[in-house]
Formats: sequence, C-alpha cells, structure tokens
Amino acid sequence: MPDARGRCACCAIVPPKVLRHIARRGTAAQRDAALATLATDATHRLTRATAQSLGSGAARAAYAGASAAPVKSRTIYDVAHRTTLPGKIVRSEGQRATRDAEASEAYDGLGATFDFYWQAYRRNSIDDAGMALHASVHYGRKYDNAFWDGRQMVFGDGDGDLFNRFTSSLDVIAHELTHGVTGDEVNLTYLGESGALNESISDVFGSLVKQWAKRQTAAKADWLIGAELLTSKVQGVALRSLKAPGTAFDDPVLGKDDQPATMAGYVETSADNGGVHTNSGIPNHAFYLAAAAIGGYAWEKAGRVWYETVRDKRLKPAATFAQFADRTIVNADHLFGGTVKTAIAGAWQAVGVAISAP
Amino acid sequence: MKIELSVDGGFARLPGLAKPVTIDSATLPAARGAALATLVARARFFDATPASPSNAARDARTYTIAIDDGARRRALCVAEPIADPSMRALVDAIVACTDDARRGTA
Repeated sequence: MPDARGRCACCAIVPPKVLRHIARRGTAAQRDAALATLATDATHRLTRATAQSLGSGAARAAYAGASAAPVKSRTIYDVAHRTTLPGKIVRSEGQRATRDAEASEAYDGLGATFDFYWQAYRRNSIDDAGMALHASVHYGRKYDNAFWDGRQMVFGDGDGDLFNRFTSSLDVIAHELTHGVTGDEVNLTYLGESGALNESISDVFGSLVKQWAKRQTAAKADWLIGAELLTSKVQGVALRSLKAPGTAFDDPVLGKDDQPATMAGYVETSADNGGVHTNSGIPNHAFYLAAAAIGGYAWEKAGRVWYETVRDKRLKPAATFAQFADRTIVNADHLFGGTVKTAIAGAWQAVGVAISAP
Repeated sequence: MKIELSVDGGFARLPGLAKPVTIDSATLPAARGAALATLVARARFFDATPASPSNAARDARTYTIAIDDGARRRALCVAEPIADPSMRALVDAIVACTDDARRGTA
C-alpha cells in the first residue's frame, strides 16, 4: 500500500527489476507507487525506460505525475570574439541578467526550450536526466553561424551587415538544443537522408518552441526559421520556411533558398554532408502539412508524434525519409488513432515519400 | 602566398556564401601578410595531419583551405570545433581576410 507520501512501503528496498514488474503487472495504485519509487532512483534513465515500456499514455502520465518538476541549470559563457570554448562564465542559473543582449537571449532561449520539452513532453532537458545547459556567445569575429559541438551550444554575433546576432531567434536556440536531444536518442547519422532528418527535427522543434512560447496555432504560425537573423539589407524573410521551402530568400549576395519541398526536388550533392540543410526541406514540409491538416497547436499532436518517433527504439541512426515516415504513422496510430494517422500519411504522400506502414 | 578558402555547412548554409574566395598575401598590408605567414608556419599547415571531424558536432562549418607558397601547395579540410589552437588561429585569420576580401575592405 502507498504511504502518506505516495510511496509503496514495500518498495523502499525492492530492487528496480521487481519495481518494474509491479509497474507492468500491478494494480493502478501499485503501479503508481512503483513508478514513484523508481522516479526517486538516481538512475533516471531506468525509470524512463520503464515508463516507455508501459506504452499507454495513461501509464506515462502516471510516471510524469510521479516525478517532480525539474530544475534548470543554465550557464552562459562569453568567448569574447575568440574561438576557444567555452569562454568566461557571464551568467549562471538564477543570476540577474547582465547588459549583454546575446547572453540574456541565450539564457532566456535555453529556458524557454527547456520548459517546452518538459511541459509538452515531460522531457527533463537534453538527456531527459536533467543535463545542465551550456551556451557560449560572442563566438569568433563577425561569425555568421550557430552550432552544437556535441556538448554545448555556440552562437556567433553575425556580421551586422547580412546577419544579426544568432541568439535573436528563439527557433535557432531551440534548433541547436534539439540537436542535443536527437543525439541523445536516435543520433541520426549526419549524412544524406538521415542527416537531413536530423536537421529537419531541429527545425521542426525549433519552430514548435517558438509557436509554444507565442501560443500560436498551426494556422497562425509563420513556420519560418531564423526570421530575426536577416538584416534589412537581405532580400528574404528568413533562412528556411517549413510552410514553403525554397522561398525564404532570394538575394544577390546570399543566393536563392534552394530547399526542395518534395522528393522530386531532392538534391544529390557531396556538399554539406550530402545536403543536410537542403533536403531537410522535404521532411520539414511534411511536418507542416501534417500539422496544418490536424489543426490546433502543432506541438500537441503532430509534434508529439515526431517526438515519440525520435525516441522510438525501432528508428535506426541511418534511417531514410521513408523509414522515419513509417514510424511516424505507426506512432500516430498508437498515440491518437485514425484521424491523425491519416493526416500524417497524407502529408508524407504529398511530399513524395513512399510509405509502407499499414 | 595564395590562399583559397571554401566554407561549407553551418546552420546558415547559404549558396551565395559557399563560393571559394582567394587572397594573395602579397596584396595585403605587409604586417598582415607577415602575420599570416607566421600563423601558417605555427600551424605546420604543410605537414599537419588532418584532424578527424567531430562525430557529434551539428551545424558546424568545414573550412577547405588551399595554400600555395610558391614551393609547396596543399589543401586541407578543417572542421569546427577546431581543437588545435594554432590551426584555429590560422583559420580565424584566413576567415577574417577572406571576409574583408568579399566585402572589398581588405
């Protein structure tokens, strides 16, 4: 029986293996108590695996309810226009904002992304185990880029001519942090189709974090990535568009947005790891079409299906578009049933990705 | 000494900025040209073993640098994040020079 704190008295010394058995086979009360005990275990991943193995949304909700709201741990560093990471600490968790706009935007953007993953999907940080978030700002000189180095986020100031600071778009911060999430889960190989999926997942959740922060429905969202990055000198609205890939910019200096929206435009190239930032337009557009067809807040259904697919142990690091699509359809059916499944299947078909899931 | 730089990849990978840019140290201010030659020597550019790119980095750029000093020519691919401080200093300096060349402010 659970005690006053909701713990099962018999669970305190019970090995995790037995707790997992109780969680699967016990009554609802026993299951909740076993999950609560597992949730206090230092081996958080074990708990998560157990909740995942339960399969049903109700069981996961029981697990989510059993775990305390996580605590953020953000650290922002200033590289002072050099490239030696991570740089000098300028703000740690809970400290007041400084006058440094880049540091403040990075701190707030990491916070919004962390909150999104917890509140939308009950994910506790990048590794779902409370991983501390580190970001360096003022990287390099007039550096027009942001990247994830495998352990932390790095943001350039932009050149001020074509690009503003890379912390100015929340979707860019969320994009980089999502590379950490994908790396922790399926770790899609950064080459060809799996690399383009890796990039697309970062764009999808980058856009969803912005939509979540603004409480925008799929119909109201702009579905742009990096809209705040471009200066007024650039002929364009953003770096990428999930709604209309290939239309984000057409500029004499930057060139033209070359993202395809469908498989008919898939670009075979050796550049950029096989066009990971180009062909990502195809799964990006599939997500947009699915979310638009489903309607409402995109993170609730389409986003949830994509998130569960990233965590799906049947998805392999070398996954193709079609293999990823198949798993989204299976997961949509499992999570939400026919209407959402049909919308997602229709979206993949519309972008020319052949699906074989029933 | 002629240096050609191509930048590939990155979150903001843009077709117009991916074109190679060539600079000639002879046309740079003397001090800048000499500093570049020193950095090339410190990084042991013509002898350095190419570092394997990080498997975990995402949106990182790859710099393809070709240098011809009259006697030798070598092209090297260097991926971010660059671990070797000497190579990092060389790449930073070349990027600064090519950015200026692209903007016509060298």
